[in-house]
Amino acid sequence: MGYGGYSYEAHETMTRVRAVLPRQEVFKQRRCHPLMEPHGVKWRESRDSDAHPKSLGIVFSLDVTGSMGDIPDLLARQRLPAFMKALLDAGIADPQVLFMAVGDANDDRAPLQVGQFESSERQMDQWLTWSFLEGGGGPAGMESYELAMFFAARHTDLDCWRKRQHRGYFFMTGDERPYGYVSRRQVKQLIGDSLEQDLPVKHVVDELQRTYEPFFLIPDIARARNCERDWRELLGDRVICMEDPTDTVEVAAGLVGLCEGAFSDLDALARHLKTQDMTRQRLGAVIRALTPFAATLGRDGIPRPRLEDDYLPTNDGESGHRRIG
Amino acid sequence: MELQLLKCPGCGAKLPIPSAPNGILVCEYCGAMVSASGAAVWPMPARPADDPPFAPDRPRVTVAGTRYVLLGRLGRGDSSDVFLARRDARITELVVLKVVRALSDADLLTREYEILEALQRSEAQGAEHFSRLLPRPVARGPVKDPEGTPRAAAVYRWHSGFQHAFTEIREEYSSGVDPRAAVWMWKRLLELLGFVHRAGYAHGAVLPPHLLVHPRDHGLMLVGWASAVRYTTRQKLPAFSAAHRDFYPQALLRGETPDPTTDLVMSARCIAWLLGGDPVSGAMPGGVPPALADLLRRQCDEKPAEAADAWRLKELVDQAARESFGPPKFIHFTMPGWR
Repeated sequence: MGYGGYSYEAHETMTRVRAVLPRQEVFKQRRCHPLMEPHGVKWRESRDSDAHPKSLGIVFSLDVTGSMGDIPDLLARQRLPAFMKALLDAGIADPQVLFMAVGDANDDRAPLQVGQFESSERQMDQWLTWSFLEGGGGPAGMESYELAMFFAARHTDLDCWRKRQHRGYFFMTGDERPYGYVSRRQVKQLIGDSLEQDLPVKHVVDELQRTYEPFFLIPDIARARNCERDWRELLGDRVICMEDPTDTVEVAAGLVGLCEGAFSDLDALARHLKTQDMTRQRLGAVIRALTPFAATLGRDGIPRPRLEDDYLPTNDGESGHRRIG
Repeated sequence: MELQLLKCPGCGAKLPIPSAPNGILVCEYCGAMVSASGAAVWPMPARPADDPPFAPDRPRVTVAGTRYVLLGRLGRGDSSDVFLARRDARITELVVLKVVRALSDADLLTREYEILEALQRSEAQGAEHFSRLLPRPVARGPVKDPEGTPRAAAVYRWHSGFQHAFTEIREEYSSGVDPRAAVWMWKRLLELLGFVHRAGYAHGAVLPPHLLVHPRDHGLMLVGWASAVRYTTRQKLPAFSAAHRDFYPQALLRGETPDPTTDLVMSARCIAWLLGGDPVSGAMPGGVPPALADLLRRQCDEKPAEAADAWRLKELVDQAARESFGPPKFIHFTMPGWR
């Protein structure tokens, strides 16, 4: 997959006409689209071609439970062209995007749906809108994010990695915690793979990051309180807490741009976003969301703190505290 | 269920004692994962060859099963050394690692961690915004120092840019900072205290080394939570900093309960000191406009006559600032290295 050219104008026109349609008209699927069934899929491939000699595989794994369905909706109606444009502007010549939809494997009918890597706006949009926004979800504050990570780790093949040792990007949106294990039974049932035993989610993350730069995007600060800490244990500073889900696109594109070195630091990214007709407030929110990760890259645009070269204290130092009472 | 000591099935190395019976252990030597009951084993997935370890010459320490690279020491508190560190893995996390230097103060570190956990859970108004300006707990547990002594340690998230304590700012601006900058710092501090008080806590140690400033964004963080108390419990302050005795209201040192007012008095004393004034009497150098100097003098008093509430005091600061400098505007504030 991954043939076809990308046209921002065509894409923009396509999304503009739907701005007024109700969600059911944009997302018509009432069950998992047969082509998005993960069962039996051997590989989803992102390949170089004459038209796209430097492909970069990007997976968008979208939580489609409950209120999280707003994000795919937002992408389909308005923001996906902006994401592609932001990537092209950031100097990513040949992005190829695959959409996945994630729900809960214990409760939902279609807990995992998988598209194909695409370069053209029409096909990319087609997979996105074929997603079934089931709107269910698990009861226990968890969703089956680990299945999406498992699928990406074991069933996708990227030329950017295979030919150039360059990792693709894996973005996951969500507001709940992952299950601790990939269930052997669910994998058999949904994907068709045979595992000897349940696989710890840590293990899956480890496999995933061999070929992808994984990120978990939380839509707003209130929802971060449910799940941020658990995700940070797995993904550290790659857990990005946004202030508003409408920023998903700028945040994801900003992450790619920072990692790829298209923006030397957050100041450069802010200057770039300023040219994009963005309000001051939203610009601030995007930069704030990206700051902790940019700091780990050393690209937060801030002088390095004054550090003394020292190891842990030894002996029993004298306390500067005096006890009271 | 009794926990037993496990050996790694991959290489035979001893595994640490699991923290929970259904937890997962990772062998430090070969990377295999083992379930704590010993029933299941997952070998380490093959790693890409292009990932050299981060800064292999820097020292490593392990807290609660996670290994960190020490990047350097940020500073020294009354009982702890504070380091900047990062998780020693490709998927990393920048953290602040606090390790007790005075072993007998381990209880203070534990206290601080528990209070911060509680504050992060607080639902008080503004929690979403203000909890980001408090240290965020990541992990805690003992670390082994180079001599093998276990020391209590706590790991917090690193907040990019919040790296200059009042003490450092005062070193840089030896004759006192611009009063207009001191005004925004005081206002940020009062907003934060307003949230903390609403959540039911008094900080109890609002001191220059505990106030961290983000010069570009005009942000302020409050660290050093070891002395905080839930003020409705009427507990005493557990300890005070000998080096900063002047900043405490005397009544606190005699064993009276810390409350919102004592935090406000200490906040005024810190600002007075930052301006080059005297924290006890509130006497200001000549450059501070009279309206602001007056307010500071009144608030540095042990028992201020007005404003027992952080929000009310912020209004008074606003008023004094307007009287001194006219309508508010953004004042560029900088430290060495900042643009």
